[in-house]
Amino acid sequence: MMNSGTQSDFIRIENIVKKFGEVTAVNNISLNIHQGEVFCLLGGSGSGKSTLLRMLAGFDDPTEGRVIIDGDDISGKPPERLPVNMMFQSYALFPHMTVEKNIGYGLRRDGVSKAETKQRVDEILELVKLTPFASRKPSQLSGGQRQRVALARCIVKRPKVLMLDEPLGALDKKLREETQQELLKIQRDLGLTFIVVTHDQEEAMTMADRIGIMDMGQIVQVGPPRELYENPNSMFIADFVGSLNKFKGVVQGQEGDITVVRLSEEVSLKIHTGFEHNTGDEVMLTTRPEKLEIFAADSDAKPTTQNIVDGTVAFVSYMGEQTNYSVDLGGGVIVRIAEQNHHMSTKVSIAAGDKVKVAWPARASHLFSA
Amino acid sequence: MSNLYRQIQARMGKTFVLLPPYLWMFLFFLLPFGFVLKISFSESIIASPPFAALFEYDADEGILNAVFRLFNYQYLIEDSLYFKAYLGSFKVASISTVICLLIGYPFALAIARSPKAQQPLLLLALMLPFWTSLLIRVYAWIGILRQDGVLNNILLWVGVIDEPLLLLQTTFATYVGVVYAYLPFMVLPLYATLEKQDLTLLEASRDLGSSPIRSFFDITLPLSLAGIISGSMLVFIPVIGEFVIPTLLSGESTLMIGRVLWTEFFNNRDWPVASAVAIIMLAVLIIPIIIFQNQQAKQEG
Amino acid sequence: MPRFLKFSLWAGFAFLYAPIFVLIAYSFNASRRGSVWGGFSTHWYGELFRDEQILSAAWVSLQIGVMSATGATILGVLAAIGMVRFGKFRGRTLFAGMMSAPLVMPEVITGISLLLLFISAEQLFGWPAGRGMMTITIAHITFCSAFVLVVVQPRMATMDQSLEEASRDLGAGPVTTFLLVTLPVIFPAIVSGWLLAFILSFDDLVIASFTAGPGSTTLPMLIFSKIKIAVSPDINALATIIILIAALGLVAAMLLSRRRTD
Repeated sequence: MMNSGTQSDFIRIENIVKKFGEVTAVNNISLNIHQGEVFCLLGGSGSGKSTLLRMLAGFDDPTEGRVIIDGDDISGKPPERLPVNMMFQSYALFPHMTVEKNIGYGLRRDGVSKAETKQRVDEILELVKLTPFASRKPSQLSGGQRQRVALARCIVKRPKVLMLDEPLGALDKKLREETQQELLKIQRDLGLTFIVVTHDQEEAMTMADRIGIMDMGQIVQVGPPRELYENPNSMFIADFVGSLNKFKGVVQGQEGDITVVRLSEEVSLKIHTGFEHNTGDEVMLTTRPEKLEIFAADSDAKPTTQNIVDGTVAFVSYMGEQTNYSVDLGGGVIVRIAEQNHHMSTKVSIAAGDKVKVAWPARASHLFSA
Repeated sequence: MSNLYRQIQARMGKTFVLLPPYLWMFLFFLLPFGFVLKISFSESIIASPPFAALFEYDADEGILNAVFRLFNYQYLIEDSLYFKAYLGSFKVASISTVICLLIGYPFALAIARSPKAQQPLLLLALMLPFWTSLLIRVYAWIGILRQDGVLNNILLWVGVIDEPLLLLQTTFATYVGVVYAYLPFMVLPLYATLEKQDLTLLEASRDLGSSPIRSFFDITLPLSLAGIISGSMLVFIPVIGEFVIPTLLSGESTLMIGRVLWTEFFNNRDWPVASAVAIIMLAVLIIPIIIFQNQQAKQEG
Repeated sequence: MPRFLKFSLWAGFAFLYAPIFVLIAYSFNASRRGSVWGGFSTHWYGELFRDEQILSAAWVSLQIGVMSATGATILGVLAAIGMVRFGKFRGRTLFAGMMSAPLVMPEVITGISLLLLFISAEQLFGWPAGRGMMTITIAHITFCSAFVLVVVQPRMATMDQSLEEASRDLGAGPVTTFLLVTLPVIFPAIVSGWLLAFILSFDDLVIASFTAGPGSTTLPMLIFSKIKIAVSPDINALATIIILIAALGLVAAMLLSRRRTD
């Protein structure tokens, strides 16, 4: 058991397909999930992430392909016979049972004796800090407490894999951050494997060791959060994770690693791509708003980036931790810039209508074929 | 000033809305029980109406005399016919309620678990017979159950029996009729609670290690208790006083109190005894009625 | 769906519909003896429409049905507003009790108690003078309004109350708000409630028998007196017509409510 802590193909999903009539919900996915990791399936509604989760939990049978968990092929087995538990989005706590009965339910079904059930339930109650609430009904608990009961009910069974369907979706923002950390602490302490399904990229970024982004029944990219954010392999990923400036452009030429892209009559940019591009190609250029820097036109600061573009501020919105600027670069090119408000400096005075310079590093952008 | 005006307006609105139904139900539902109670203490006489006055004003003495005669109740106790009839009604109502539950539960569950788009149609199909006269539907069973009726003909034709069975005017016919007539009253409240159930609870129970059957008994059944109580009361209480079905289908096989009351009232014209029968029936039913009303109130809240 | 559930669904429907199909089949049977198929015939329908007694009883029942359904709908809707919108008012428990007990109250009890009320009231005040359509209608309104309440109350309770608040906010008074906003929203439920009340009134035998007087024989009373004695085939024809009308009415009500909720 212990040596499998680094087992990298603990869960093997092999060419799995799920069709509902004519509709293909999951289209030929293959994926390995490591033991002890938090793997996030991230995608919009209808991307197939929930269908995939339901197949892993045994609620739906795949149309094709198979799933192997710790060496066992789970295809065709009913959910009650799988070493996998699910924390439902609605928590699905049994309303007619006390917290204690809810948590002990799965153990009793496994044939664990009453005495041992009691002992293990008490341990878990301690772990999720719900001991004083043991004899309450779910309706008498707060949202956060319910979430912890749902978690306790699963982990008390010591499943090989715990699936979490939008685990924080029903909590408000403040509670989410706390709960997230508690969840990860329990995961690490017990060495559990988590598969989290979510549509919230922030949730995925903060929780996951690795994220699999799903779209139209397929996994588009798998990787650690940083890799997906910094090096998206497609326009879709770039757009899906974080906010993004997107421009249509035409390749003007190539100078070594640097590609020159023209966005409009007025704006041409030097972009470090590492790839050769053919002159005249139409491309999409993407840049994250926080990678750019804004300076007043009369500022003394001398930006050292490859591109310095003149523009006019169209819009300023102060967000607290950061300020967002929309800058018109001419020829219909409007770029969004996000600046952290850590220095109460000269930029305070930048307002709509001001002339500004935008510092645009060559490595701040990605090119995708249009 | 305007606050006071608003208060007055609100109070008037409340009165305007509540007074008509309140007054109506008080006058025509609650109050009449008082008259039944009163006449149950009266004496049957040959007159119109056929009972003696309970209160007599003595003009000489200037006092109001009231005579409460308990002999109607005494009569009910002494003549075993009434006790047997109450018992018969109780037996038919209890057993019918159980049968309705056993047939109605899977029926309601099947409707509630059908695709959402089909459910209105299935409910419509369930309601349709209920919307056609009970009398006529019970009458239809005569055509099926009689000795030369449909059922005997089919059984003879299939060869299961050689001689037509005596089905009509038996206890069997009573149960068929009662279950048939009251099944929708069981199915509708059951469907209402089953349809509202969160199906992820069943998935959670499967996920935690329960078989489908175990999940049914652990989750579905206890969570539908409200529907079971409502449905059972909607069957049990009215069946106690049922008149049409035993009259048309039971013959002499089953003695039921509703029919006895009817006979006392219309055939024997003994209104005081009929009243006493009704009062005792009401006393017996008061607990089930309270259970039913608590259930109704809970569902509102 | 498990096979067992599917089976009970179809078995249940077979049980509910078998007698109805038997009735319809018999109504076209030329033979008077129900068990023998004497060929297809619409004879009994002709017989039915020549039967003055049946026609006049049907007319009585129709009038009572319409009046009772309308009265019960008014009371039921008022009661629903009270129960849903006024929260806790004095005497609410008693009110709720009086409005729900008729759902289960055995008909013989309701019947005898109303008759004794009418007779006592006549002795005391001279009203109602004798019994007839009016006393039956009063009796029917009483037990039908409980059923209307059951149909209307849930619709009323699930209605988005901010609709009413928006209307008040835009300057409408409570009565205008009720007529222009609340009523249209709960209208399908009101229609269903009215239809249910009509059917219950139209079908009632027991309560009508207690509260009827000479000359106010309703259709169920007439049918009962006929079938108690012997099988009469024209009743099959009558039943078929009633079933057909009920089916049409129910389908129409469903289409109406579906169109309004879409």
